Amino acid sequence: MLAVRPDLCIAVVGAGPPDAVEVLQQAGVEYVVVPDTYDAAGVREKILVVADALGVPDAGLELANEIEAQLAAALGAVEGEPPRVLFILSTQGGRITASGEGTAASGIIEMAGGVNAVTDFEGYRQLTDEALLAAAPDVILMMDRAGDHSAANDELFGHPALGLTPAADDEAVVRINGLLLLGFGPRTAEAVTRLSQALGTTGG
Amino acid sequence: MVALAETEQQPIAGDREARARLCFVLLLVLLGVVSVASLTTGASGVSLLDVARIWASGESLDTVTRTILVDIRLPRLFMGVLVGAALAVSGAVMQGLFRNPLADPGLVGISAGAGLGATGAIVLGSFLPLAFQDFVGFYLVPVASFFGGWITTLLLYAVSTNRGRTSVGVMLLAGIALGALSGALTGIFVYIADDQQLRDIQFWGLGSLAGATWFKLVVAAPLILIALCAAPFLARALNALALGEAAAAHLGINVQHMKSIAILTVALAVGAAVAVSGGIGFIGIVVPHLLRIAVGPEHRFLLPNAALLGASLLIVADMISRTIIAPAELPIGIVTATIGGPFFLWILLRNRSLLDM
Repeated sequence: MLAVRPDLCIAVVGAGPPDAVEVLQQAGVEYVVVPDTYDAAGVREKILVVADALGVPDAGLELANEIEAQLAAALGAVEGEPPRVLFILSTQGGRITASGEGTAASGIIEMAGGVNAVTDFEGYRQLTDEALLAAAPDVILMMDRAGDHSAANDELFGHPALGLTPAADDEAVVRINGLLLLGFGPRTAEAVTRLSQALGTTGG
Repeated sequence: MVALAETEQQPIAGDREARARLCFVLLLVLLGVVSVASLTTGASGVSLLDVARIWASGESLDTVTRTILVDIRLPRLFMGVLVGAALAVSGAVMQGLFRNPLADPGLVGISAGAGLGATGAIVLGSFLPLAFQDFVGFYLVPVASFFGGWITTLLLYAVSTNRGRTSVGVMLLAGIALGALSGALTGIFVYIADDQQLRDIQFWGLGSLAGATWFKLVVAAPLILIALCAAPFLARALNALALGEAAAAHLGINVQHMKSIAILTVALAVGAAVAVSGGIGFIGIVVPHLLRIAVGPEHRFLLPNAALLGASLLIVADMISRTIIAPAELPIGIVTATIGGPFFLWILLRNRSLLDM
């Protein structure tokens, strides 16, 4: 990394290993850590921190306000029961790896006006088949990428547990580009709008 | 003449046979109990008592309960029985063939090859044309791992067979070399994998019976059952082999023939088991050793009992993996290693003198 002679290093919180970071700092490279929380305030925070690090706080503030307004307009909500959304990371090997609480997926689901179908654990974990049935998601959310990440609908609902969910009855599967959906960057408002349109929860 | 007192001496062979029969019956009962327990536990809380109650009141089961029992728990139970039996019997055959207590099914290159196939499929699968991906879908990884295991086994067999004679010594060493090579190739795949694929590779290696469908059973069961049925025919040959290859040949065993059948049987059983359930360790080593302490090294008793004990153990491990951190699921390889390791150590410590090799 030192070979490219950076003046500034902008890293996401949790980047490491700590030894490498220390070496960079000792070498005199300015090291800025950007926080990464999965909500509207988090997006604003990111923009301001990066703008500060780049020495353009005014432009940053302008952008942050603009995006904040976009987000406020895009936030989804619905009268009555919000749809239960299950974010599936992978169905490799018959295992359903789903998102619990505290992840980018659960953050964007909430911003779009849905509710995470699984709240019993944090992070991305393999869900047992029976727990999947108990979670009863109305919509399955997946990243739209080639390969096993985007199993075709038939295969998805061919899985014995998935096939019995309310989502299977309507074949309700939403696929959105992974970086757009989970990046929590400047395009977050677009992601929220697309997701809430797909969920039917537009109009905040 | 001194009349020798007629002491009723039970021949040792009869002793062992009676114990082995008793063991078989006990293990059969254990398998039954464990199977019922498995059908009755799960993250959803549906139990067989509930089912009995519903039937008693004359109603039929609602779709969800029926699906949980018939489409989720039952195929998983059968899968656990087949995979557990396959791994345990293969372990016993391998230990007999190599005359080495540390032999496990992976020694014929199956595990390394299967792992390479699965990793390759996970990482390279995304580069295949989309139409092909849709066609193959979920089955790319199991099929790739099955063929990966087989190709490695055949390669290993070819390397160690010279002028019609398979040398198990060469097979052991060549297996190490092939294992290292496939480990390196797997490492390259891991290197080019993205985060999601890395997670998939890691969890494939730890094994799981999740997503066991009737379709998978229909495909894997014949392969495993053929191998399990062929195994008892190897029993007498394996017994003879314990005396050494020359002695076995003089006893009338066609040693080369037997080796080929043994290797192919193990490759078939373990290949199918690993393809549908990923890498599950420990069953192949621990079960035969536990049984030798109970029934002795006679393979005619060892192999059937190994099948039953392996099946029961895997079902218990599966029950734990499904419920201990519900609603999340613990990979079954972790459970078998966590239980198997210390338990095996305890057995060894208790029987150190008996097992002095």
